[in-house]
Amino acid sequence: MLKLLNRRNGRQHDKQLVIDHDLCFSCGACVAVCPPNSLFLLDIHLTVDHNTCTRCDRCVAMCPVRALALVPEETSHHENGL
Amino acid sequence: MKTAYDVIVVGAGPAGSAAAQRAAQAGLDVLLIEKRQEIGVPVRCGEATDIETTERFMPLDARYINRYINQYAIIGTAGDRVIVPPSSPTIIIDRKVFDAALTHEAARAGADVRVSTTALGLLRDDGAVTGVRLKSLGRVCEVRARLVVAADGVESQVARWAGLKTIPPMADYYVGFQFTLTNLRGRFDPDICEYHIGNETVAPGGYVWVFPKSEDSANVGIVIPANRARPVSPQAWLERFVERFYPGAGILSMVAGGIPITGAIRPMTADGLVVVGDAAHQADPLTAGGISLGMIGAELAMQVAAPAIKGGDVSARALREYEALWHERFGKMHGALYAVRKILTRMAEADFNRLVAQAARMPLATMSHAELITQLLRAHPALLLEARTLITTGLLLK
Repeated sequence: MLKLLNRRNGRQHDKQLVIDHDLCFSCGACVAVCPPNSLFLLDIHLTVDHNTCTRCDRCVAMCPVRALALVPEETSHHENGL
Repeated sequence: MKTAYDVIVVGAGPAGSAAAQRAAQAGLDVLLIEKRQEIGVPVRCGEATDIETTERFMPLDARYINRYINQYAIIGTAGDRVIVPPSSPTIIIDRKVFDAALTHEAARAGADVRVSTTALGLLRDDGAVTGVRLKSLGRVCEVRARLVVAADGVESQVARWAGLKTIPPMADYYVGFQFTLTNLRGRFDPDICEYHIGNETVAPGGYVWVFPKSEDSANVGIVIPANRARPVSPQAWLERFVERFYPGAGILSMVAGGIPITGAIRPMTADGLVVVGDAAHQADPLTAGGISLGMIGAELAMQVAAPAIKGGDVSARALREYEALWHERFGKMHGALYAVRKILTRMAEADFNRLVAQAARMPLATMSHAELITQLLRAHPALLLEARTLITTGLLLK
């Protein structure tokens, strides 16, 4: 049911936002377009609050250097080393 | 750092330092905070600004001026270029030195400046902003202020905390990438700023700039509206451009960033708070240039806020005059520039090339805007449809 709702929203709740810190320029461009304000630039370190992130894809779409991606949760846990 | 000030400015970019300078000059007690450990870095900018505005805030100084520019070239992809004078004489600056010099002026005027100091949240009293909770060198503290100035840039948190609408639509948000390239001698004109436009082969919906830094080096950057930044990223588009025009150039630095091009947000004020610079979307909605506009925004804000503070009324209503001043000065022009961008964004590359070829044959230096547009419309009747937008926004009436 949840999946159905999510699909209807066009959102990808079974995915998670991953930040590639090797690519990130800490430019803050993504922070400005994040509707729930889930991205933070702490000094020069970009972080995401997964609890409030709606996986809306705006930050992924506009990252000038492609440092952001929405990936299936299992993969993201693996890549985050969680 | 004291526990209370008249004004706390969050962010020591050009707008923040300009606001701090003007507030201090008005006799107010000012704290200017910057989250980074050094003013001016990392640079997120093409580094072009105008002399006139700069000079009103600090003396011109060779330490931060790389080049003086008297011509701009608008270049299509079919070999034609239109040379136009800048609306105001331009300098290419070293932003790191420029920002530090401006902050120095704020300090000289009496502002208390602190780096490595981050705003964590706003203090509120009955909804009104009354100060900032901040972290300075690891220590969290609360500092009260009669007015908070949000100058925290494109990723502004302060304006959001105050409940202001700052999220731009994707079509009105440029994402950019820039190289500072060297080993360019003989391959560019070090006295001209170039804009390259080509919606299909250069920068979809945006443009590439070449701004000279020296006889041998230049900032070569790109902006693309966020809704057109896929599948090819701005960085990839720029790499193509560089490969084509400047193969073998050395890369001295890389810069990425986003710029809202909506025109200024409404409102720009809340009880006890004003927003200036990129945080208020004050950049030019066509070119996205924002250094001097942010400084002017800061000046207008303090022109209204300083007497408001002294008079004891810093309500949004009392501060709203700042917005009126801004829109009086830039509203019409920015509306027109916004409309021009929308037209350019949609224009087929071949049509734009024909337009450039036509304009290249006109004596631009001696023509008024109205004459220019009339001539272009005669040559390209299809533009008439688009021209309605321009007419309604007043560009032709100037």
